[in-house]
Amino acid sequence: MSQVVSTLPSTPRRVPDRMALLAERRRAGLLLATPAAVLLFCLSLGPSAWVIVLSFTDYRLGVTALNFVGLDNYAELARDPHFWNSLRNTAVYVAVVVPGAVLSGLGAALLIESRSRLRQFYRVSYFMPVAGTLVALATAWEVILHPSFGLANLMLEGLGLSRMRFFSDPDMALLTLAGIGIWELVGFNMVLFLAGLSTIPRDLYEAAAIDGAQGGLDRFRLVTWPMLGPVTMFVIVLTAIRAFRVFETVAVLTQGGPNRSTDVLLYTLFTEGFRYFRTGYASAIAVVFLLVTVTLTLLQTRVFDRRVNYDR
Amino acid sequence: MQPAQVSLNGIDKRFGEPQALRNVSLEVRGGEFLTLLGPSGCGKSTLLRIVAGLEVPSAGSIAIAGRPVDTVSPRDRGVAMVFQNYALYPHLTAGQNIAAPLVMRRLNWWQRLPVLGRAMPGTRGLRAEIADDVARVAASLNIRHLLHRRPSQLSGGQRQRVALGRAMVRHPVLFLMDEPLANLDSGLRAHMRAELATLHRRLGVTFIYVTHDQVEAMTMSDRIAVMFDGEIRQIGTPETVFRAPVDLDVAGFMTHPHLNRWPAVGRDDGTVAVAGTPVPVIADVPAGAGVTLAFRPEDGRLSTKSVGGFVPATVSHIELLGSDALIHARRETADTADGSDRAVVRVAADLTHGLAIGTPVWVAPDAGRAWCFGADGARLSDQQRRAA
Repeated sequence: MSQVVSTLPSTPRRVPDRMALLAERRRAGLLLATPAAVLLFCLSLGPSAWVIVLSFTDYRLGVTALNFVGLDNYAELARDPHFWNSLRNTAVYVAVVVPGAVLSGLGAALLIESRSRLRQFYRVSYFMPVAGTLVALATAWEVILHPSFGLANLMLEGLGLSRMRFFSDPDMALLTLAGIGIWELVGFNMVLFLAGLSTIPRDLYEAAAIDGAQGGLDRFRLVTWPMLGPVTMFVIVLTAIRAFRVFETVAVLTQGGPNRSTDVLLYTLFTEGFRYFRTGYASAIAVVFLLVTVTLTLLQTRVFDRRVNYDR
Repeated sequence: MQPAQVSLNGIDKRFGEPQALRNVSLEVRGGEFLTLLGPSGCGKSTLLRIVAGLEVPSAGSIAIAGRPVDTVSPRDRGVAMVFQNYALYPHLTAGQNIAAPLVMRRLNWWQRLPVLGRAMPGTRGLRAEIADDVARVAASLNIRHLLHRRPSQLSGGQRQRVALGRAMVRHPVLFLMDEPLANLDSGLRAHMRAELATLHRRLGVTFIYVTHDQVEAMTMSDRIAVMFDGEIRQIGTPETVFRAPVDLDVAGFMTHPHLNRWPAVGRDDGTVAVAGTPVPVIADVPAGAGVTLAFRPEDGRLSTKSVGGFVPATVSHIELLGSDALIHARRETADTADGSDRAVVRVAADLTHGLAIGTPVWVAPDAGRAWCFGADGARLSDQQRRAA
């Protein structure tokens, strides 16, 4: 005779009353949320709070003592022309990279989506810069854009144009970095747009064709662009945040020069904090950086999401 | 405007194997409500999309209102289409959705620009005309109060009306509908059936309607084209298709819930024998030929006593439907795998007294209401017997 094995307890566990049951559920919920909460605090909230605290001190890296100096660091920031210069450079960089990287990403996605063959090949080749190490890729750009033997200048010469001093011309250097920034971000944006395009119902395009949309431009205006609204908003904010964080290319290629023309916010933070060891002052810059990033994120979730989400 | 005739001639469509449409020819009369009926995958939607111009046939030609449209874009075919999921633009209000076909046709590219377009010469007047047309259509569909809402704020039935409004607003000569009621609940579906039929009478234009629902096809159509495997098997009035299906597939599809199909052998006295029992039918069955005797549950008769011409069976299940009931029974036969042992008969509910699972019963079709189908599935003609 075979044995019947039951996994159920012979008598159901007794639950004293409703309140105890609810309390037990609450405890279980807290327990399950704890690991994530601890990690969030240790890796994100805690360090941010510590930076905010440091920004009110004169702490220097390696020094054991620190004094609270109130808003002195912020007052110094407001007077510091180098800070304003780097903030302006960062703004210019963002203003060039965001439209460039978003529109090229959208264009690449639309072109790739519209063809059936080699789609995978194009997708991978556009995505490559995202997967690569930016420091290594920046070195490659340095060679390509070298003033005397770089490929770019050889090509310009071949076309009968004059050579360009991509990194040594103060008017040129920031734009060159922005160009590299766009190249770096296009692939990522393209992947996001491709995902967005794949969610557009096919029958909307068919309805558009019957309603009288003729050609790609009509279809784009009536269906694609509005349906991509949420993705576009997300891509713009993400690109802005990533452009705002530009650092590697500056550190590898220009070190803020020539003549501070490519000095950006994070690079200033880096030099103040890790070259001059003025940690308190660098923390104040970090707080400014944090404020801008948080504002951009809030803008996305609070304002734009509501305007481009049609389900509400 | 004259309602459009539609001529389809030798339409083939291949997406790969099996072929989606095979040499389909069809004449839709001006002003008629024609339904393409068939199971999913039979090619009915593909055929509709070919008429709309959304799909290009592999071979064959189409004419709408006497004009060949094989190379004409969907925009210029003068057709309107209602999609199963309505395909409303989610970012536009109901009013803007209904206006879309007019905006795309009456305004040029510059006049349609969001802000700048308002300043273009003539835009204001055209916009006002479009608003008038939209208001008129909305009033006729009772959705004027919904025009400012987005599709996500509308119920299924309201979306359906907006989709109809978008189709009606530019007075097309031909309406194409792809299972427009499939996403509605059953009560609303019954209501919209009546409303669509009324709309068709009021507009007087040609409707081509795709559905897999036999009831929708029966209740609304002037004619039904029944499709199987990329072919039109039968085309005729609902009455003809229902009463005289050309083959076993059509008969089965036009029957709910189950068509009784019994293997039978022709005898020389004008009857067929089912498992040795002679059953009288009116059909041209050659003596000794193997055929399938088929009849609907409502055309069957049930007896609790052995009667001549009735086939013995055992009750296996009883479904009480309210005023009537379905008696499921099984015949004693060796062959049960293909369901040919099943006998389903619809009886008045008060006749189920005394019936239980396991009760022996005797089942026979109404002699005038049963059909015989040959080995190839085609219905055997009954003209000679009738004449005799």
